[in-house]
Amino acid sequence: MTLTVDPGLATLFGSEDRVRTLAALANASAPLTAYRVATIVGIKPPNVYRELKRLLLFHEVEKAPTPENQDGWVVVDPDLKTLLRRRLRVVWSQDLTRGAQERERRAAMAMQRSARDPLDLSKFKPGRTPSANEIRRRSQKDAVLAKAGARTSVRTNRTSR
Amino acid sequence: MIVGGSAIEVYTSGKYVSDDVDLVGNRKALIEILEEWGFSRKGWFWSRPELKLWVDPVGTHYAGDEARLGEVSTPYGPVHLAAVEDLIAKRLIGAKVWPRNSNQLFAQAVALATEYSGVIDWDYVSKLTKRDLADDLVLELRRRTEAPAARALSSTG
Repeated sequence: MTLTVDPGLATLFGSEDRVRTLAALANASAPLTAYRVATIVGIKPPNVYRELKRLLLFHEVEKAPTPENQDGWVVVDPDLKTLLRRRLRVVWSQDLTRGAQERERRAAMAMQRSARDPLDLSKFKPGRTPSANEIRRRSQKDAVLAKAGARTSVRTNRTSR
Repeated sequence: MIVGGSAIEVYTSGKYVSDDVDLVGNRKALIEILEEWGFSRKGWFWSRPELKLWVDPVGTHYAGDEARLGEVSTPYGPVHLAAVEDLIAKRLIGAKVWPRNSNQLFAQAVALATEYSGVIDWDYVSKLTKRDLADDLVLELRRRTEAPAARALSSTG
């Protein structure tokens, strides 16, 4: 399936395929081959090669070896990379798997940092009250999960505000 | 489309949310496929306990901004994930609505904000949380997640 591109972005960059090509590279944790870019965003490899050649002329992309030591590509400008990651978020499943340990470590560190500095809600304005439907839905779902020995929501044991 | 805690797990690779998977999509079609795959109804869920999988087809329409959805390209086709901004907003609202568990919910928002630092549209998050009186937590989240990044940058510069 082809990645949907906002028409405004396509106008800004000159073509939808150019945006797709850049978006795949911008969201990747490592250089990607042109063929991989094509499979991620759902366009034909010749179209990706065409866009990469044009982008190379303007130094917006450069060649770099992939982790498998194949000919890969990266986006050069960090600002362009950030802009694309904000507007189009597409990743390859293997990229997610490859970076999982590192992401898990970063998340665990962030959670630990949070635990060391607990949130003091008294310093903030009071929130809204949960609706009866929210409470019923969550408790019924958690009852099924608990019975099966599965992890329940952290919201399960709410008894007081 | 995967929403809720399961989407946070994909984004952060952390394992700290409930074991159920919330899906948004055509409910009738989703249920037909789940039943075809041997899932059976248990309360809110369609489950296959031997796989430790509990699926909740929560609704047909995505409540957030579809333009911000994440997409994971897999050999079996694309999988859509709730937007990082929508997930952060829901966790911050949850931290206020469920005060007893505010720390865990806020910590999940911290994990997401840390992972996606630099690409989050904070104005959008503020707008979403304002309706539920949780916009002050956006400032707190930014204070906690942007300060370490800024310190790291200044120490290397």
